[in-house]
Amino acid sequence: MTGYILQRLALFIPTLILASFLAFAIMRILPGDPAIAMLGGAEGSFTQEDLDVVREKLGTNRPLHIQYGTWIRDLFQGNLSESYFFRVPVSQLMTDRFPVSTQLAVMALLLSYVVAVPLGVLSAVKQDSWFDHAAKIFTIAGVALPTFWVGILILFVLGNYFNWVPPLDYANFWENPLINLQQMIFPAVALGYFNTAFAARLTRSTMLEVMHEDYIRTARSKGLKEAVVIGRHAVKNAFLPVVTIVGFQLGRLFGGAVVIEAIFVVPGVGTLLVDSVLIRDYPVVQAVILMIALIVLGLNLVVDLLYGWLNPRIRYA
Amino acid sequence: MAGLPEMTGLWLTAQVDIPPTAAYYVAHTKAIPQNIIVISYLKGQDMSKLSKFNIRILISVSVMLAAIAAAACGSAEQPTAAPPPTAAPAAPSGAGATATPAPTAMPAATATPASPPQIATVEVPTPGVVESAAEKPWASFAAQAKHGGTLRNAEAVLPDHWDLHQSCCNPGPAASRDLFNNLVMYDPTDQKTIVGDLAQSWEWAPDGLSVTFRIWENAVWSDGQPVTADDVVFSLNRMVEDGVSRPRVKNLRPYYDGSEAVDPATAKVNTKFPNPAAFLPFLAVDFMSIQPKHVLEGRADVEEFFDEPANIVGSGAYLFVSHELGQGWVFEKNPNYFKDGLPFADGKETFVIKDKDRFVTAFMTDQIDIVHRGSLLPLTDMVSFKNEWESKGLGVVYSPGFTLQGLTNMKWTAPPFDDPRVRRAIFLAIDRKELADIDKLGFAKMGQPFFPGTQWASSDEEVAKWPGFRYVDESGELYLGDPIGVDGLTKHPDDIAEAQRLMAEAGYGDGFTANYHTYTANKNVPVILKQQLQNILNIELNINITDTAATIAAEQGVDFSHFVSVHNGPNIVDPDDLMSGVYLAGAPRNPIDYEDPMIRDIFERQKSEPDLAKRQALIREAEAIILKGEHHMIQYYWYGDPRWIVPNHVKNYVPRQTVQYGMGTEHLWMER
Repeated sequence: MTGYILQRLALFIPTLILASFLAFAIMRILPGDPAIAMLGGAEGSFTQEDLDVVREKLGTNRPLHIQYGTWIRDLFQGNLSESYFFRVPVSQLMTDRFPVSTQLAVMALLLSYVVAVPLGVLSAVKQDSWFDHAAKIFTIAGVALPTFWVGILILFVLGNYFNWVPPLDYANFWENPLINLQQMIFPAVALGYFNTAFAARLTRSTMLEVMHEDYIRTARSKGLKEAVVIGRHAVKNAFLPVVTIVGFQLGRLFGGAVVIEAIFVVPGVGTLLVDSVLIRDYPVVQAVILMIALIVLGLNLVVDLLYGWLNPRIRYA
Repeated sequence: MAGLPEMTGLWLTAQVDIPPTAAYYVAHTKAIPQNIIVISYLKGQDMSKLSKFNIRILISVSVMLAAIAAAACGSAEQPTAAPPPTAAPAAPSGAGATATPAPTAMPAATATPASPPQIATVEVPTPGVVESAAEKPWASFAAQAKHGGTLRNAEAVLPDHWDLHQSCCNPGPAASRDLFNNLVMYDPTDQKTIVGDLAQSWEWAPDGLSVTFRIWENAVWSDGQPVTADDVVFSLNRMVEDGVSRPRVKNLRPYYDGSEAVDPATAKVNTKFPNPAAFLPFLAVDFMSIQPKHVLEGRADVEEFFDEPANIVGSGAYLFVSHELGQGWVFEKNPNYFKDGLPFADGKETFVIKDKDRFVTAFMTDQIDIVHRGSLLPLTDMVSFKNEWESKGLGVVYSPGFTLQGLTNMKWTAPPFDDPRVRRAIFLAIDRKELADIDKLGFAKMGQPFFPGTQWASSDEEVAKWPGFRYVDESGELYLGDPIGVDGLTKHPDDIAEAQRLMAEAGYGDGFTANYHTYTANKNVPVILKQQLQNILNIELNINITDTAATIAAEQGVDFSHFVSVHNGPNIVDPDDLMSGVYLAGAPRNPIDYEDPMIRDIFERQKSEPDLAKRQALIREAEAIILKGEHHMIQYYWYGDPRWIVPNHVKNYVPRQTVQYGMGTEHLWMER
């Protein structure tokens, strides 16, 4: 097992280095100039002299390898450098924004599993019933509809039929949980719908598989109540494949949050990333991409290790 | 909340990207394109009738998408044929008096006409005359105002700088204008006249080479220190400082020649030449804030200090309270504000909303009171919003004057554009009316050289006679009026013939291929131009659409091969702004420094001409030169699209002429 862990870690580090290089290079390959973006782009009124001043201030007039080297050196010193646009340390932006996105992702994940597991189990138990058909429509729609569309649909229904939409003023959960939940619950629903649908479909199919296993028949023949058969014997075994996709889904939720955060005015890392890409705020984009890469890689590492722990055939392969 | 509009067609169409061709069909042929939603949207039907229809569509589309997934688990008008070529273009005539534009029908694509722009006539300073004497400019409306409440403002863009001396664009003053004062400002109740802000009065010297400002003696900074003439001198010097970024305030450089504090409440400002007509209007632009010398002078971090809004020490109507980075900010009323009684609201809260659907719902559910700078809604959505908003009597969506320019730069230093005949051919061939009708849905005027509808413009009738601007009706008669939005007009055949003749003469009778670089928000223009230039001049455009940063990088770095298309937003309605912004070498919208010595000469002569009629005549001369069509750029239209949303309960709002000033809100009050 130790060898397996070391092998995974050995892959983790070069992947992270590659991610840092890509995060740096992508922004430079894209046409555009942060100095021009800062001077207002198309609406700006500036001259070459203004541009030179801003480029000098940002350091974007230095050779690329110097810029990359400086960034990596600062990273190792724990310095994510300063945002070109917000003019505050990037670490401050990350500290402000990542907890918000994490809360959103975790809420979306929790909500999706709270709905998905019972839905999948009931669909399997009541296979081909009206409930199963309704659940099928619900889950296929969830897989098919883009997340942003679901978000817009939710806003539409809330605004049009309830004359209410989530408050604009973001409140921290620990300071004002009620307002925070009002603001976060609907984006979490929108974000989690795909996961709900996906997990429900997976639960249903694994449940159906398990329900035809010999040990279920044995349990029934022992005279156990159906609820016990399902709850204690079927669900437990059917749930394993569903649990293993949690890591993958959490990573996906961070990606999906980019659009949903903008729609619901949630001050998370997604909106920060979009803003920063548009204004070519290199330090922020690099840091956010690196952080997301770190999270996804970390989750994958954990899942890999869990796989290894759960299935010895993998770690000895 | 009673009386609020229902979610309507706007909502759904916000997700439907209307292709220019669809709008074109609607506007010109009335043919039904494939998307009924777009038709309903563009024709401005009663949106309330559409809301239930739309939710059915929404649900249907959603179900269809799901069903598909489940199953998956299973000519546009042609230009008139070329008639015989015409002689060289006639110089524009007309003496420059402001003419009343001919009434025009709105284009079919829009149901409600644009509000008539109110465009100022900027007065030339009169030496020796004391302006704005003692009277409080705000007294006229303060007596009837209601106090209280928090003004909730929606903003789509973050400020580039809170320090207005470094700010390039109107999101800067939209954020911090209320924290500062200028010396002078545009009167918020008419937006055309300049009145005092920190200046109680001012007087031009008899020689026109200086102006002396008297400061309100009760004006204080938010730290309790008095506002003095030293602050004025410090701020003006900072605005024109070299070696630092001063994107907007540097507009003072051609005029400002130092200043001095005569006494604590009196500042004398010298100008480089007598009677600079544009000086006071530039001083009234929102970026020209007076800042506290005692706070900023000598600081090593002077260029960063006020970009942290918590550090701001201002004299303005509001005080900064808090700032959620990227999300919004909160101000409270300045209890010591020197304009007694102002501001009327107890506070101001700004929310940054970047999603257009969220923006609309915020308005519909009364989460915001006003959009005071600019909306993020695309024009088509904004028109729909305006139609619905106004038809339900909920408020008004205002437009600025037609003071925004749509123009395309050509690489005039390299073939084929190094041949002035080619530039003129394109100038003649493009169909400005079609561009305005489709791209701006009629919220535009023809692209004459100087601000349409002002004392600097030629009348619509005169413009209608200019080569390149001429249209004929179905009987072939020259149309003498503003052609935008009028059906049944086609380009004058003589212009097309002349354009083709010039191309042939320049050796490009078979046309050529050219690259056209622009940004996404301007994507309609090259699509329309591609068709026009291909049909008339055999010019094949390769369109390269990138984001704004990349397009401007291409423009400023002269990293474009043929065309680069941008827009220009002047600060003030004065020829100086256009000359130094577009037409003269060194102007931001003149990246390869095209210089016509005659234009330069006219600029130098008109900028200090105290006689308005003479100055107008000089501008006519410049206009005639630009209308030769040999310049580095082609201007197709002036636009002033609806952008400022003001519900009925917000009072005392008057739209301003340009988008670069008037973003203070001290004069607004709420009355539900």
